[in-house]
Amino acid sequence: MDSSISSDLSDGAVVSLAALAPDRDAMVCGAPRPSLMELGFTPGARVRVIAKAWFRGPLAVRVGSDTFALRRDEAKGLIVKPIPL
Amino acid sequence: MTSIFPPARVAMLGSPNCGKSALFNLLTGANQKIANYAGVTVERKSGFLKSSKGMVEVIDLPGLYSLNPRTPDEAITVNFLTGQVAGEAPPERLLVVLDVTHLQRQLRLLAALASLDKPVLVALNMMDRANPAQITAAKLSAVTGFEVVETIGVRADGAAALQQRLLASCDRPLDKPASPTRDPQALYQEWVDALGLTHVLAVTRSERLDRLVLHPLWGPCLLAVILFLTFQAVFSWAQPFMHGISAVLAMVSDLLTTWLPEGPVRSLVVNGVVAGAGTVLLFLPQILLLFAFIIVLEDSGYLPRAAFLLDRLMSGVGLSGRAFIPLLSSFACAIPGILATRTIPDQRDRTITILIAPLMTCSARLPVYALLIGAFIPNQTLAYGINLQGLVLFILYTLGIVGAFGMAFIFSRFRKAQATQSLSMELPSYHWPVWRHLALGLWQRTLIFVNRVGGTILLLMIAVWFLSSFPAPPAGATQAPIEYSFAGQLGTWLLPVFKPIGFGWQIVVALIPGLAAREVVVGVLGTVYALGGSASDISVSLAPMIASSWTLPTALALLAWYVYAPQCLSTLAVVRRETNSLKMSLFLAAYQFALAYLAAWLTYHWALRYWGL
Repeated sequence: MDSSISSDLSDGAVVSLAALAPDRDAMVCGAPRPSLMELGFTPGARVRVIAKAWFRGPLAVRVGSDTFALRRDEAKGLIVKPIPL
Repeated sequence: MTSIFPPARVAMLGSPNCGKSALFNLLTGANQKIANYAGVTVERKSGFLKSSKGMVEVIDLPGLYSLNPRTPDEAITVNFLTGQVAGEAPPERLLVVLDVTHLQRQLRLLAALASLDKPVLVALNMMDRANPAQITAAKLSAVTGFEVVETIGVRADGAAALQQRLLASCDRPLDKPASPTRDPQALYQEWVDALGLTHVLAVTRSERLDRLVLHPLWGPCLLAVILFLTFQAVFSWAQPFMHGISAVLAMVSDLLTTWLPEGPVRSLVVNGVVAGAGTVLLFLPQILLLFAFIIVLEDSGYLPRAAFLLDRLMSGVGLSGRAFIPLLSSFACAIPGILATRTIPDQRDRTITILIAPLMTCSARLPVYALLIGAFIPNQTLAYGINLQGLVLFILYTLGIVGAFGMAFIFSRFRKAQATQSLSMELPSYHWPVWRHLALGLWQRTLIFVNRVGGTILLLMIAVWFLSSFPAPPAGATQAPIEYSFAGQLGTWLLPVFKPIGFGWQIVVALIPGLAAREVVVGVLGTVYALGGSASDISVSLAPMIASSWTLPTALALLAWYVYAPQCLSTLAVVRRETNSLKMSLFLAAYQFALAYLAAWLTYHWALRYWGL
């Protein structure tokens, strides 16, 4: 599912955070899990992936003024919309 | 209006990494542990502020992200706040610490706390750092309606204003929330908009540094270099200091031998106290160097990055990424490591982490390693300036980690995993290490170590001296007197168990008190060999003595034993308390014994074969 969405990066398309290209700003959409909301991943929040660990390890994600490490499975459940460059 | 007794209680709250513990230390002068990662405050601590007006009790609580606790650690705070702790009244006032550089998320916590309808004072911390939205105490106060004081947790006088205000709160009460019934989410949104906290993600210095530190290739390389340097430094930098302490001990021993008349008192002081407890003291410089590295890595914010880099490896063996920090604390001592597992939300992950934490090489094992490496491994430099002794130490630490991961893999097969593995770990901004924290941390470590040597270890050493000196040998005895003593008899009795792994009775005697405190092994060997030798060669230099009386396979087997050997009794007691299960701590001891025995047996027989002895 992720791959089919991420192949279409035109405006308005949404991807999972795990599929978001590094260094690309995006906006959180949909209804994130409450535990992620508490960390600041609320609808409308800006996010950016700053690093992906190798072998499908965790992602380092900027949100607001913070940086969090999320495992891929957590990131897959978070839907974001890339902001047009 | 406020009575002096009992003191007004102020609960100190904030999200993890907001600098709460550092502020608490400044406020109360208590020397609490400070570090730049979540989970340092594992139990509540309190300190008192006093003035002529009255007294204020400040209670430092584990950091939290919201009022819906996800970890046992956060639950402590929430239960205390809401008055669910039996026999304990909820606090009357709240001191909420906010990090100005991470204000956006932390305002969410403040909005949630407003719903508790208690008087609130806000400490706006880290005011020395870049603050692009130009937030000030006045601005925040105008928007939220709470009284706000600015603080700088890293400066010695950074909490002076806060201290004054708390003391004044005895007769000038704090503000209560204007509208406690408001929905926290709506309140939060209103504050963020009013403060003009934008959604644009500015590229910070921490983020630029993270591009290198978290890089898929350079990140792991950097981590390996840092760890390797640490162990090299522990061996080479500590040498001059150790020679100094060794010279002083030798002098003291010589002086006492000359001054004291021949007899049991001289034997107790020279063989029991100086050769025993004194020998343990020798390893203080190495322990301090190891801690200096750990404290700097903690303080700078590097540790959660290391956890990020190793998370794939940890999830591969069925561990939670949050297990990293408890496991790392266990390099100092397994006890704080086991307490730090309270930051792990999942019970199963937590139990596995507790079971493997004692396999991490705690600092009490360092003297044993250092003694044996110093005695048996040549101090030579291999290619690229790598010191062989440092390399062996690095290998021993690595063996502990490999063993721990292997056991975690086995344990996780036996327990059902939860559906989604979550990490959700904050990577705090980088900080320059504060030298005051480093000096304080090392000073505390020195005190702990010296107290241990002067307390538990000294008592054990006196007991060991007694058991090794009495009863006196029968008339016409042919062996050294110690072989007829209680200790000698016990060692000989247990010898059949340990002979297959190459241990002599002297080592067996040393292993038993080593269960109470591991460093004692070094001291016991000092006493046993000092008593076993003739009166003329009493010496504090234990290394040459064991180098001449043990074979290399025996020394290597003892090293391997110590990588996995059952932990000290206090660790087992803490495991029992934290898991609430005696079975769990007995299981821990049993599996460690089996693992240690196996490792020592394999090492002994491999070494015998390899060196053809």
